[in-house]
Amino acid sequence: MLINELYFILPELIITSCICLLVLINSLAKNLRQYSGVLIGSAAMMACIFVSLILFSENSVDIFNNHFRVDNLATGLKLVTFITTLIVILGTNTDKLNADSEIILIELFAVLGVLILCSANNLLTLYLGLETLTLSMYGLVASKRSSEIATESAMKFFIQGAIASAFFLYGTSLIYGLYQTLSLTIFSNPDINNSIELQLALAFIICGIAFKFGAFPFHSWVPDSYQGSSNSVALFISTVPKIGAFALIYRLLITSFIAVTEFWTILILVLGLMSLIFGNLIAISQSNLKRLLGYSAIGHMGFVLIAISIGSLEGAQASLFYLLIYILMTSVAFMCLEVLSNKNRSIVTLSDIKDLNSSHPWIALIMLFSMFSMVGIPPFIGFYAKWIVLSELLNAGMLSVSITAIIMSVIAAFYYLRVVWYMYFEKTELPVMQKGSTLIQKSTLSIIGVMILLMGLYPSPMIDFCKSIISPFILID
Amino acid sequence: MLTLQSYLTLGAIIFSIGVIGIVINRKNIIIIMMCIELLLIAVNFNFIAFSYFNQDLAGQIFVFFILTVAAAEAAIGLAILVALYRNKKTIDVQELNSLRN
Repeated sequence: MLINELYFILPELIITSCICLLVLINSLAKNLRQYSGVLIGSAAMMACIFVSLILFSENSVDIFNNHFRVDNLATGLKLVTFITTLIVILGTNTDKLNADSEIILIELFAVLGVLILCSANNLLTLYLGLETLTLSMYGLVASKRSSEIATESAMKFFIQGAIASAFFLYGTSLIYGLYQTLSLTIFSNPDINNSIELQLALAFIICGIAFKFGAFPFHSWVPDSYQGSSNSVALFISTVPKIGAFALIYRLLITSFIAVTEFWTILILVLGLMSLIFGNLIAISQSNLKRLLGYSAIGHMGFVLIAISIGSLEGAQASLFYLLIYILMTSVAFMCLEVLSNKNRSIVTLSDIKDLNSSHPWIALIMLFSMFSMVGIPPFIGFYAKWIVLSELLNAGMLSVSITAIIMSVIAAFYYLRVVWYMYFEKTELPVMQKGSTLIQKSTLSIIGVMILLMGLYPSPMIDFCKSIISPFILID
Repeated sequence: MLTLQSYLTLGAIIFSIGVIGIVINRKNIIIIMMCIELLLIAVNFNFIAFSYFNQDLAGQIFVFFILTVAAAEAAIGLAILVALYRNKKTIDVQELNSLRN
């Protein structure tokens, strides 16, 4: 029995053994440290992509006493996680890894947390996955130990994260008291009654979810931790944990607690609208490029949340599609910063990228792709993401919400286009001249940058992928 | 005879003390960390009370996991605090203001 079950957690086993291997290498073979992280990390990701492609054709199973579910959603989200992490690892600058080679090790821990979140079918498993992810994120943000702003942002992140996870746990304890069980399968029963206690518990739980997404009342860690951490860490924490957050909201709200959909969709809608408005308005006044991307991430998460708040299957599909496109665009933007930075000079502010076009025309063009796509200009893929979310909103009859979303997208165009303006039309005495990035980094950046354009011209495979992993909900009687 | 309600009220009171302590605290980070531990203890209280009165063991097992995670969390938090103190020479909440635009 157990051996059969191990087959379904093969990706987790691969990641865990690579973590053990990297811990050993980091403590015993110090001369191998520089490249071992990148080599082992990317090899593990490729193996995991291969394994999850095989697992994708399997039927869904519940293993380990129904604590762990391997279905299309879990395998699909895991596949996305592996691809994103592979991009992050290949985009990380290996020169700096002498000093902080633990980054990839901690990233693998965070990936393990995301994998557990994707498959969790029990509140205990869900909590453990969430904490594995959150605790490794604290470590990642604090990884520049000697920097004042890094440790300060890590401290703020830690305090908010600890409060959010305590709120999540309080809600969990109330739900346990109400139903005497921790199994998410029981909660998907449409007959559970809509009591005030359950609503209170869900409100507490949504606080934890909002923190993971970086949505409005729990958003302030996002720009702080992006600014405090190095570019490669910001690249990781702006992408992979959001997949975990989507898995969390899908497992906990969309497929469980179907009986109280009317209640939680309102909460999610308010959070989504507030983060859409707040994120985009604050981003206008930012001159630090990483803070700007942080606030724009809050705005994008607003889009993801309002798509979820439709409460239908199509809404969840549109939300997942928007999330995947957001991950692609953000990783391109942060990877541009990572490629341009080296040991001596880190590109963080808008004035750093002045006149980028004359020194690095190709990178400037890719950054332009990413910015245009975030604005939602066709034919870039960001246009389709926004269009699908808006058409689902209109199908559900949420006209005022979609008008707000459109107005906020127009406002967002201002600060995205300002980045483009700085790259192409501003002159500077201090252009970015340095070379420090490797060929692997540049080619990864080029591939995913061109993907933004190509997928915009031919978006249907991505849409089909989202539809195949969010299939109709199966109600357990 | 103590009922489930009394345990839940105690849990809610401890939780509120934790939240209030974090919100009104303007002095130092150690107190915030103590408040975070209070929040987790309140949750543990709830779980144990529910577990005892509903005759279901899962809640007590959950508490063991919460204790473990809380220990790891405190270790990471104190490590960040030490790194912060080395850089800034203070753990005053008011001094944490260098992250601005």
